[in-house]
Amino acid sequence: MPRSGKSTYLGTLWALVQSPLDRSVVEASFSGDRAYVQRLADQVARAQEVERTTLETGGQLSVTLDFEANGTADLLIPDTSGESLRLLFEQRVWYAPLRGICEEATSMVLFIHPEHVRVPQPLSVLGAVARTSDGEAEASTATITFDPREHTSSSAELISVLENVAEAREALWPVRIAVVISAWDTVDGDPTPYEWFETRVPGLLSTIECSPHVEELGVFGVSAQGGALSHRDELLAKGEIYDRVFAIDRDGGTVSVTEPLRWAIWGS
Amino acid sequence: MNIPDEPGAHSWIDALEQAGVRADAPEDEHDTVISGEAMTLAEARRLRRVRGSRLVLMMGEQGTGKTALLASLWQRMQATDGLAEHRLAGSRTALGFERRAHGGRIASGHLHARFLPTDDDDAFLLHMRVRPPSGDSVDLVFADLGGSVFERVREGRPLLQELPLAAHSDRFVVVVDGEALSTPGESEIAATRAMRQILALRSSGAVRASARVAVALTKADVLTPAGERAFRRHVPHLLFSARGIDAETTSVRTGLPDLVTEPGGLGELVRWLCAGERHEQLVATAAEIEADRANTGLER
Repeated sequence: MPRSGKSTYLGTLWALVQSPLDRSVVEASFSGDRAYVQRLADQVARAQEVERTTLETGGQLSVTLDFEANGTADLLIPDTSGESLRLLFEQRVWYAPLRGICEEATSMVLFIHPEHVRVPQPLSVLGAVARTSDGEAEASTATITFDPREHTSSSAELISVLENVAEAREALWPVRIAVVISAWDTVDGDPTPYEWFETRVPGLLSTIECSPHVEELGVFGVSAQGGALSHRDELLAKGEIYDRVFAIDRDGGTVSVTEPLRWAIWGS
Repeated sequence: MNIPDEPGAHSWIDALEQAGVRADAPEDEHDTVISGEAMTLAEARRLRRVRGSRLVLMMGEQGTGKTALLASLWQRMQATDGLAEHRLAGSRTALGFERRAHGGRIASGHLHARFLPTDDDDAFLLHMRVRPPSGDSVDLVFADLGGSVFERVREGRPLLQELPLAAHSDRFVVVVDGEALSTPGESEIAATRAMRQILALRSSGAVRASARVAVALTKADVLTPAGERAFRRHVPHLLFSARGIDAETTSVRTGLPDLVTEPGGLGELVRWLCAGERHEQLVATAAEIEADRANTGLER
């Protein structure tokens, strides 16, 4: 969905691929157009707000990477605009490039921003339909009109998206899905990523775990900036990208920020 | 009397189409975007063909709590551990469920939040995929119709004329309004109205042999002691009558999941919805009927 941290992660990933400090992933081939991801990486390095991906500006990273633990992989990582998913959910329209990507993808990385999650709200006893004195049901005349963007839980929204994705690539399932909870530095308390996912987006977790279309689920917490951009000086004082970003796996163990990508390709 | 199951896999969808319900999905399945709000007949047909979905007809007049029951089920199934070890495995109509749940959510910010009545024109086929502990997921398609159709059935209109899909439903959930049972002067009306739905099913002669019936008490969270007494008085009669269709009929109690400490009723309901078909037509014998009457206090 929009503003879930995809582009920031891509920029950080590219910065780490190039960093001599992180050897978990290195570039195996230097050919190809790197302008888009290089720009994202520069913005992350400067602790600037990463440019928002729109339907028109979406770029991609086509690269051969050498993963220290597993070997070489040819990757095509499209930076899909969150707007294209919103279009699918709200307008029920496939943005053609997104559909093409979904049909061909061998792994998926789903980004969820903790500050943008809408948790399912509890039902109220007031929800019972009102009755008039003669016992007939009374239609409410003063309710808040349902607005899908405002009132739908993130869980339901993403379940709907996944159903469409499953439909689009029915012959190719099952697929491995890595869920990245971005801006992990903003998460309250000390939950593991799996616990957070279980608490905040439970229906989606259940759907992914029970879906016949999903081969394996990975959950990660990633801080691809290392802190809040509103405290830029503080953030930059932590050091370079390698020094300030961090990631943890589903159980809270520290991993490289590149691990969600490695996991999406090779699994556990 | 029940009729044998029809061999056609799409029979209930055909019936809806013949009744004039429009299949408004694109002809080319590859261009189809899942509607999100409610299933189109084209979607339902394809799901039936590919996965063998199960049609559940919710029966009850306006205000009895059919929509609230579905919203409660949706809400509760979203918990990570689901209900009674049955877990949510997807929905093609998540938006439709959310829309129904919206009216009852505290966070809607309205002091008098209400589940809005379902209009006759509302899209009504809702989908929920559930994975039971046994492993194989079950695709449930709920028919959530406006209450007016059930009023007409209660008033004597032919069931199949009003509800052509009744002949093809796999499960019937007859709803009894717990709030009405708790209201002086309303309890017997509520029970009678539920009974009329069951009698309409029985007398139609068009219920599938494998179809199953459950009586669901809704709004159990607001049931008063008087309502409880009314429930205990009337439910045996409802079950006895329903056994003319389904010898294994059952009753469940449901309330809003966040206010009922023990959500056993919803768990029982989802377990029943996902349970296997009856393998044979179980027609109660005369002796069983007499025993049943004795057990339920209905001796002549």
